Amino acid sequence: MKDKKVKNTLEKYRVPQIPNSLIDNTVGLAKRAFERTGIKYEMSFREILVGQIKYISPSLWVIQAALLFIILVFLLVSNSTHNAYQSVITTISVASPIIALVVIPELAKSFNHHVWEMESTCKFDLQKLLAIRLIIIGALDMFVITIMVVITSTFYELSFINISLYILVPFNMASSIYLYILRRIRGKAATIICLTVGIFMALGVGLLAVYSELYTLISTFIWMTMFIFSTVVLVYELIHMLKSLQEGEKLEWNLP
Amino acid sequence: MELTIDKLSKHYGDSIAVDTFSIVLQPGIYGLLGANGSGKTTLMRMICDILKSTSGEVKYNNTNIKKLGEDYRDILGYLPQHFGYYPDFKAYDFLMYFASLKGLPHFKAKEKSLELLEIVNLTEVKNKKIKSFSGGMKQRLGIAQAMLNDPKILILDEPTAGLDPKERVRFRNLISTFGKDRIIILSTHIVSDVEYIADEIIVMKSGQLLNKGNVTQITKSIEGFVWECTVPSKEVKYLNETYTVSNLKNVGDQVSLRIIADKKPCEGAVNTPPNLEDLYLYYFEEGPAL
Repeated sequence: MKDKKVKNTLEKYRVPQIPNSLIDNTVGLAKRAFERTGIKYEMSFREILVGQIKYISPSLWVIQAALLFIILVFLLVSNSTHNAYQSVITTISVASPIIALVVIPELAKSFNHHVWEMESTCKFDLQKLLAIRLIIIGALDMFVITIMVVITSTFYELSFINISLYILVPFNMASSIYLYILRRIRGKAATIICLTVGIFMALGVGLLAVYSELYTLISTFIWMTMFIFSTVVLVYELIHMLKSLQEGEKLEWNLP
Repeated sequence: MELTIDKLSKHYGDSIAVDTFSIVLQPGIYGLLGANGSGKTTLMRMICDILKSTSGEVKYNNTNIKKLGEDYRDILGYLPQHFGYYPDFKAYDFLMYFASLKGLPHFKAKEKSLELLEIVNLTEVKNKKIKSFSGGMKQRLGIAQAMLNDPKILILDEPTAGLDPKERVRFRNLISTFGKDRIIILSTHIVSDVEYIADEIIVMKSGQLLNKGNVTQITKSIEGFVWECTVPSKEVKYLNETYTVSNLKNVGDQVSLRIIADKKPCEGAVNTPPNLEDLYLYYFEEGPAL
């Protein structure tokens, strides 16, 4: 009986019609009131990182995928050649500087397209942006290298560690040289110089790999030492490149 | 809110781009006027903290902007002289990209980007690639980018370059509306851009602060130096070569001239109240560019 009464009372109640303009006005007032509170939205590092992935040029993903496909074809074809070992060593040696090379336009794009000035004045400035791009690109490179190492060590009787070293040492060296060039030269010229240096490096390492015995003559200990040394140089270059982004006058000036 | 530029200098070897520049800015619209090479861009880059000063400092509410770092950039909007863009980006993507760098949460970035596209009249082309845009459209997109984070300090370097007269008016109205409770600095060498909207004009020459004040105050400094006269056509060549002529109009057989000169340039010349364009010509007609 009581429930029915309540139900009837509720059914009798009609929500007054409120114009949309008043609703919008209230929402607007609430938004402005919220903005005045000074509560800031702080993005987590994960949010920033994931947010930037979609702004990496699609051409980079396509080129890396195509490169990986070509490398895999070469590695698989090597099996049928009369000197499979030499063929594999040559393929991975030539591929290493190229894997590092294809990411250069992405790293240099802020300067190539003259967007660095605007990016530098954002909350997450150019230094943070480049660091995030390096993390994404580095992860992509490591993914490609891991596939190469796994395929090579699975299909050929080569040690996982040795193959990793044969790829990572030239990769680190090439990356260090590219970063040095990017740090010293800004604009499209840097990309062109990196491209030229990269091609010569790939050819040089490729020629060296023809004498594949060299790779086995050098002990794993020496390869490991070379890997540690090249990693230290790469880290040094990475730090210096990021630091150099704070030196505005070295980036550009419009002296007539 | 106060932005203090304290004895700011920038040297490049022997060249001095900005020379012990000091000024205190309160909320308002400031027009930075100066010839090409007068140091406007260098000064603006230092205010934005993308260029290290040789000496001096920039303070926001009495704290050095270098100390504020991210907090300062959070309230800063900047449009550089040469607006760069990623050619394959669409207008909307470009704003969303910058919104993410400015730390706007996704829902707000979306809302703000669409709102600004509407304001700068680019909604219809929001899904078109920027490389297909005209110069004026790119510039409007640059202005929208600078305003994404509702900046307290907005610095616009030659914002009206490439805009047609209608777009210029639209821009002036936008800045006037947006200017409340903010510090807006816009550099230009186009006098009319700042004449109507700037609360104060800052005149810069050879890296130094030459004059500061509202239009009436700063034009007062050249009162008595602006003359109007009507002369026969044959005298025009001489007057043009001898004095700075700010305006020249044919009136029948004679020519009406507006001349900037320290003393009476010809018989019948009468003093006339100076305007901002006269002031600009007075300061920069013969002034050496850096």
